[in-house]
Amino acid sequence: MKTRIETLISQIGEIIVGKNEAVQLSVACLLARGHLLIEDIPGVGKTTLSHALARSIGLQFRRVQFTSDLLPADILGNSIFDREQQRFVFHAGPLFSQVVLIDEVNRATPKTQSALLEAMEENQVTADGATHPLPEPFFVLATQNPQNQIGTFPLPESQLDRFLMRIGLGVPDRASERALLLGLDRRQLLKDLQPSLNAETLREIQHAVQEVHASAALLDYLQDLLEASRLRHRTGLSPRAGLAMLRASKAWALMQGREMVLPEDVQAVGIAVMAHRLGQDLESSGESGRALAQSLLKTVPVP
Amino acid sequence: MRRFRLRPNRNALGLAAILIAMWYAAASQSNSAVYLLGFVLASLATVSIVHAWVNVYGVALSAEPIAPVFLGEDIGIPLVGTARRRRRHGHPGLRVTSATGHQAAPFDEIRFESPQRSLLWIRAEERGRFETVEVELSTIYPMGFITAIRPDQLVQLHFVYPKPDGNLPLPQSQSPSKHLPDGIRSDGDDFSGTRAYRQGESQRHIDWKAAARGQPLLVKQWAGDTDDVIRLDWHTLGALPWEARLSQLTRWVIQAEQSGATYSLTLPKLTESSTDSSGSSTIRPDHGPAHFHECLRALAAFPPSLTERAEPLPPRSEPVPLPRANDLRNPHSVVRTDSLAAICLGLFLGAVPLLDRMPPVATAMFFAALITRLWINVKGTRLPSMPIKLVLLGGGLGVIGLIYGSMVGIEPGLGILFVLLSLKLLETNTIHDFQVLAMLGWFVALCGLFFSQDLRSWLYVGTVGLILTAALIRFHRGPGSAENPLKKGGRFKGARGFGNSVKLTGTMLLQGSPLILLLFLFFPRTYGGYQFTFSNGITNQRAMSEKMEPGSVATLALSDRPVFRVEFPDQNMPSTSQMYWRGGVLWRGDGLTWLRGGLRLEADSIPLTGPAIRQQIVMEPHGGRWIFALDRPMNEVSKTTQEAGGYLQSIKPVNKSLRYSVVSRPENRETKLFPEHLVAALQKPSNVSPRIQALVASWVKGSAKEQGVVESALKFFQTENFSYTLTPGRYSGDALDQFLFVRRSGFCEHYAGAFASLMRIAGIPARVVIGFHGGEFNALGGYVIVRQCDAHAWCEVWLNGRGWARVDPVDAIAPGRIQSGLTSFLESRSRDDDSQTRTDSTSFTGRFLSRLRLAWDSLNYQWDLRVLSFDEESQRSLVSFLGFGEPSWLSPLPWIAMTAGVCFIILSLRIRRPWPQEDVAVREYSRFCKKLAASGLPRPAFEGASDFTERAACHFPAQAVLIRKIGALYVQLRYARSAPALADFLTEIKAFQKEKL
Repeated sequence: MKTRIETLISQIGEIIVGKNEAVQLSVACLLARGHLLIEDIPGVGKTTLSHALARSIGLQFRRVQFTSDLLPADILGNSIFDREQQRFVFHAGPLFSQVVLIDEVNRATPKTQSALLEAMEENQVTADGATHPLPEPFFVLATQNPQNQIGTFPLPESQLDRFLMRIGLGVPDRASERALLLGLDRRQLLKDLQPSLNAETLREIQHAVQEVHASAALLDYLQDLLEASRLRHRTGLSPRAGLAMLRASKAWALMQGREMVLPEDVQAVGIAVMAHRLGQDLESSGESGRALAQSLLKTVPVP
Repeated sequence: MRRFRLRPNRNALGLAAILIAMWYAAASQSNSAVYLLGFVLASLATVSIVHAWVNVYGVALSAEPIAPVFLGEDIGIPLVGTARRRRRHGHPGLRVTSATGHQAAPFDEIRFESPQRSLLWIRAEERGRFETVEVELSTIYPMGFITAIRPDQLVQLHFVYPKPDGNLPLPQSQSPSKHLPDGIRSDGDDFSGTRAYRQGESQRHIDWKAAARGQPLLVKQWAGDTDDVIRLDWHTLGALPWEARLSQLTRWVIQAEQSGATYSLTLPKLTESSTDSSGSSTIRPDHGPAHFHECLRALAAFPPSLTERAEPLPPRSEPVPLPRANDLRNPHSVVRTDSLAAICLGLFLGAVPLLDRMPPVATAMFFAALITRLWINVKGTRLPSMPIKLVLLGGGLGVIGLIYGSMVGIEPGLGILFVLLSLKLLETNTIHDFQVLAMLGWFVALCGLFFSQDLRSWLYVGTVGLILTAALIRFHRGPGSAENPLKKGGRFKGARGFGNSVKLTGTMLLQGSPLILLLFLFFPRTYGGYQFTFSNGITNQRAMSEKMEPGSVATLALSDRPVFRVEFPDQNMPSTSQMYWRGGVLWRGDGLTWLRGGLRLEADSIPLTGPAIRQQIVMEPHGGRWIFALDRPMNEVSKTTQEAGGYLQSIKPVNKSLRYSVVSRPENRETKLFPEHLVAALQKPSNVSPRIQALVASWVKGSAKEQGVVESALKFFQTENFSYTLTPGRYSGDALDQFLFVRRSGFCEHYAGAFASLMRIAGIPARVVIGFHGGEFNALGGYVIVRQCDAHAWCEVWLNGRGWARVDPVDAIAPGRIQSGLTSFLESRSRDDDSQTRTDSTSFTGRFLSRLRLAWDSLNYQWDLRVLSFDEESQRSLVSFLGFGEPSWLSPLPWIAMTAGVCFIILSLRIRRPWPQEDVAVREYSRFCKKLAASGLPRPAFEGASDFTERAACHFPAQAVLIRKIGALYVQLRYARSAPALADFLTEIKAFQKEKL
């Protein structure tokens, strides 16, 4: 199982050069059945990463480009009157897919963003009073620009909380960039990419993630983190965040080939999981969520 | 960071004073009751130290987000205190002090289910970006004389912005073409927000919709070209010193934000080693609060100059009192009514036993002060001013001086104490005052113990002391917090809080009881050398007098106060009617009045015959020199002398409970009467009437032997209608004649006196013995209790061949008295008179009550036996029994030091124990980390075991294998589903501890 995951990571790593940590985190997020938000400035490979990820797990894949005039029905689907059958028939939108890549998620209005809430949490869509289940597995990959960019609508807290992780890519270092410049066209590479997992093995791995053991001592540590976040910040981590941390840590532990979760695993995924959930009280302490998460991890002692 | 510490505060002086006073009072009197009271207080104090520590350790302190401030302003740090675990008594009375000495308002009681908040104001004295705040969490709860301080580091990022200063004008925005006055740029397309409308502006851009919603007039603003930007640049201020540039930039940022303009900020990028700028970083042009704070944060976090010393703020010798912090504490509410009422109750109860010895003026002043102080608190009026207090002080002391003429002695002393106490009560307004009041209360309670030390008094005084302690605890608890909302609708508790304090007092007493016992048994008792005695509080108790006259025994018989209690260790208790407790022998008689004669003792006049009865007697203090024992004591008893007539006398007046052991032989026979004794025993009354002469002559004539005369006399009493009564009336004139022929009613002293006089007239040597007869057997305790009402007087006559023989004329007149004791004799007689109204002692309640009385008395006996009579000698024998040999007790100081040292060691051991307790693996792992830290590789608290051991393995390649193994095992132990054997881990650790790094 570990080799399969390693193959997956190395395959993506060939396309996204020099961003090993981000790739690992995104895979962990996938294995933990969480949704992934990639936030960075334009042009660092957000979309490429999403494409690579989606392609190499060999699932049904669709892409939605969010714009400011997009409406909920455009992504969920809508009911259209069918003359032959004399009734409304639901036409599923692009969201009905195993992997959905939402590009520039914060370009859409909050109304459209909110249409994602139910889908992401409960894996179903309710339209015109009828509830339609989404396919299994369901994995949302979203990219966005930093919020101070012009023409963006910041994601509401409830929406942010539904993303298991938020990762950034950042500018590649000099050597990686050189490799990038020398290498082939990324689009072409993407087209040639062969899936290294199928739905069945993915499900197997996701099941194995749940079996990873988290001992009482580890849960103590996790709870200490949650408690500290609640004491220090007005909007501390929610219980959902706690669950997310645990799931992500388990996935990370499995990727390291371990049957148990260590505090190191929590710390490895901690920033990606906590940062976007903590960044909400910007005005009071004036530090980005990333720094707050970092300070939590650097101050809460491992019991 | 500084370590946790316990520091006695100035209230500890009061405690030390009261403890020393108790020790002095106890040692100078060798008084166990006072010692015990002192030990109770001392152990409560010791236990309270542990409680203070637990209180301060059981709370996790954290800070909420801190709003940024400018240099020189006050930073408000919102504190949250959370209890680490559920604890019945909660965590009251905690307060936080900053490293600069500023105090936060005290927390309300922190409970597990209800964390509490407080606000700490400190002055921002340095600009910058700060990640932590150093504070100290302290408490004086529960008893207030020890401050437990725990230093803490609150992790909370906060900024102190540079002080806005400088008077350079704001740089102009760099769009020369389209610049409009008043900062309005209408040339952009994007709506970017609103700002307040200023008088005189064009009304075109007012946001009328917002105005219609009821908001003030706002002007819409439109984001303009990027050119239209105020550029604030560090480099333009080259002429100014370092900090002044920051101040100027800060001022500009504020001005720019106020004007509503878009502005950018450029600062040089500095490396750590030099202040030469290696490029610069710019915050992109924008405006609005987020941008404003971003700029100010950048300015705050700007590194300090390496060359220029920051201009120091004027030094402050002491923390500046911050007005906002003071608002939270209303000085009039420091002493809350419930704790005040409790301490007043304690003081009042403490004063009750002293009332009849206190000068009335002090009593009046004390009560007035109690009521006034409570009234002041309830009404919230002002406390009396200094002149009023001075007048009261002068007046009170003056009146006492006038009444007693001096200030020395117990009554004036009590008077002064209570005048001062009243004044203290009136001025009590601070924590320290309250503390002093409580300690004074303990002193008052102690005074109550000087007059009586029996169990009842001691329990009373002890209860008063506990009430005072509970009041003190209630006081330090603070206002009490809202109850758990799940219980009783979340009301604020007043009385409940007091109940909790009482409970805590009880808990502390229980926890301290082993210490009380240890101190009681082993605290060195010393006696002598201390020139201090209490005025004799016992003399007002009615005791047997040295002189017997009509009525003197009868008055004693009215009281049922216990005189002494006797145990018979050999189980050979005689029957009650045979128990004649010999107290004294009266030689000099005149009719019915008898006195002790100053006769010499002839040492070897008494041969020892007959069975010996051993007695263990515990005698209540009576102030006289009586030592009672069964007829007739034979052995030497320490500190007593044998007197002529065969009775014991104490060398010193018995002012405290006395325990002695004595052997008596009831059947001894003397053969020789000393001439001096013979003369004394034949001395006839001065005034013998002819009737008496005739009567006696008829007896002598009627029988040849002395025995016959005695029997005739007894028969006379028996047949001639004499009555035995407690109220014989007063005799005057020739009492003997009157008694024998006219009134013919009397109590034992009448009969004994008359009988002895008659014998002497008849030429038979006679003397009167006073003491007690009978007693009540307490089956519960297995001892006999002898009370005042058992007082008795009887005769002894010298019969040739038999020696002194006991004759009890009362036996002849009222045989019931001798058979069953006075009380039941009187009861049975009055039952004959009126059988309906009398409480029937055979009924169920009667039996129950009498059992209860016996049980209480046996408790009293145990008290006397075990506590009051435990003195230096008992201690000495206890210690040598335990095998410590004969210690030199004389100097108590090393012992005190030793006790204190032991307490301190126990305490510090507990402090070193980590909180909460950890398991073995964690403990061993932390030892492992400690060793690595000592070798230069400390583990940060947040670092996991796997990372750390990997790092350590790289650092110490020689031990890499071992370290990795330990790491793997520890990780398995802590986090794996099925843990490996702990023993493996321990052996690896052991191996590692032997390694040299």
